[in-house]
Amino acid sequence: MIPVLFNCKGSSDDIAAVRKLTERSAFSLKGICIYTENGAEEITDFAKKLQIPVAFGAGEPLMMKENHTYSYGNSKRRAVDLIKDFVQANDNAVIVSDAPLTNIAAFLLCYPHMAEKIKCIAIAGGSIYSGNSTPCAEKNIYDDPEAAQIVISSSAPVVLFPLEATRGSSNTLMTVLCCLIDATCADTVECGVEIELESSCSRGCSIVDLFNKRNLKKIKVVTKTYVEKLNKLLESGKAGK
Amino acid sequence: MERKKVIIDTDPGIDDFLALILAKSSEILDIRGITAVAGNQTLDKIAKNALGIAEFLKLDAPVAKGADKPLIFNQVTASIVHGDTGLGNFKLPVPSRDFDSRYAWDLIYDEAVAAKGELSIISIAPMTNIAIALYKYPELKHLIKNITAMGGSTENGNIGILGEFNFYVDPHAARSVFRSGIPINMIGLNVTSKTSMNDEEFGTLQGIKCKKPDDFFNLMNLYRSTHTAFGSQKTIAMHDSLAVAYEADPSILTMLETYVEIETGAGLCRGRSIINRNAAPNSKIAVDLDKKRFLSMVKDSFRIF
Repeated sequence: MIPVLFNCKGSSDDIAAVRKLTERSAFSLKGICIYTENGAEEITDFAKKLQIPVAFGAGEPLMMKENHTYSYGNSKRRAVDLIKDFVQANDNAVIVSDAPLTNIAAFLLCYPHMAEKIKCIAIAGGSIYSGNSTPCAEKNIYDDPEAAQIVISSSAPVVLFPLEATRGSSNTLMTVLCCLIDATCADTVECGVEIELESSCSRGCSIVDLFNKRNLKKIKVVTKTYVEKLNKLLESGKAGK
Repeated sequence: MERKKVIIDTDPGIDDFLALILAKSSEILDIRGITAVAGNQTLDKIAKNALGIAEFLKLDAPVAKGADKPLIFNQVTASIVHGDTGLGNFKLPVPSRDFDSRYAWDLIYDEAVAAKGELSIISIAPMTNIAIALYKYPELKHLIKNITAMGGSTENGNIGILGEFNFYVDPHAARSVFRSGIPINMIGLNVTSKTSMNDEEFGTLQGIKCKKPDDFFNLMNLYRSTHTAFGSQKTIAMHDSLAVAYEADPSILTMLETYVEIETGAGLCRGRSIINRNAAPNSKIAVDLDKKRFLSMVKDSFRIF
């Protein structure tokens, strides 16, 4: 079983994704980190029933806003510490993120020696050419570009699922996980990725350096997923009914 | 009188060494911890220097290692000023103890909690450790009394045209700290440059009685030889010491309350501290100093060398 931690925003889509995941014996969901405590009651209750630990992030981008209200809510465990405990306790730890990368960046900064123990950080976010928050920036990256840059440039292995790869998928979390267990479900390239942090019209844009012009650390970028194959995999026993 | 509890976040570095000497000699400051961060040199060299200096000065405060690179940008060092080891060819004693097992940010937090709101941070390095402490423990903003930082400038910079080294190296960290709501005293290059000793002032050091005069003058001469800013005259500016001196005796500096924003862009203004007189203040910045009194504090501290 692959131990998984899910970093999300706690939306109804996230709850559906978690439900699906817990029905699959190929994966073991060990924790959920939520961007902010506000509005996360439903997923918290749901996780409690399944006895999956939940922790909250600060709910603001890492590079603090003016007079920030940055706090970790009332939970006993901070998101950074839930991630730490998860990585410490599990070999082959897989972190899947479908939210701003604030919690994961904070974890990597606070526990720098643990980056290399992670099997993979799979990020649903970014885009190769298009955007949804702005014409060229995808929302999860745009909402905390500095955090994304910290995670992508860290020494942890990263797989990026940009908009082009997740378009058409009804369940991002399962798409990501299935691609991780069966590489033939996706086309993947290895190249450098850098986040634009400055320009007023391109801020939050993920620059996928397909031709390795900038000689960056290489990560895996999924350029295409095969939806039919993914669906078959989900229905078959391989993804673990 | 109860002494002021401080943590010194540092990247020694020759002028950090001088600043730590000043802090140790102070009867006002109670050093609760030394936290090392990549800056003047790489973290392995910096941390080794910090532990060696603690041994040399017989400091018993914990020495903890922190960040080995800035938050976002690649590391830039100042080996041209501080030599390959960060301390020229100065030989520090072999440490009789190890680093504290905590990371810098965890030590800062633990000491802040223990001091119940009375801990100050003297920051004489890139602010990476302090920023990470704030990301991990947002409640620190209510626990830290103030941060006195050598960094920034209202005029010219040193590594950039307008960017001072500490803020230039990690502008994202500096921005996070300035925006945290913790009261900040910014001791910028515009004032620390005024600590420069000319030949005559440097000459008065000759009379100092210390235990290792040869080592002391080797170190000072090395540092001095890198500062030839004004024509052929060698100068020696004790940037970091001024932050320590202010924490020990705020009356040596004239301060101005203002709003400071840090430019995080990688362009021409990288790391610049921008002063905005039209916004509600978030800091006090140094505008002038009592040089005579500062130099006498510094000279006095060298006797422990």
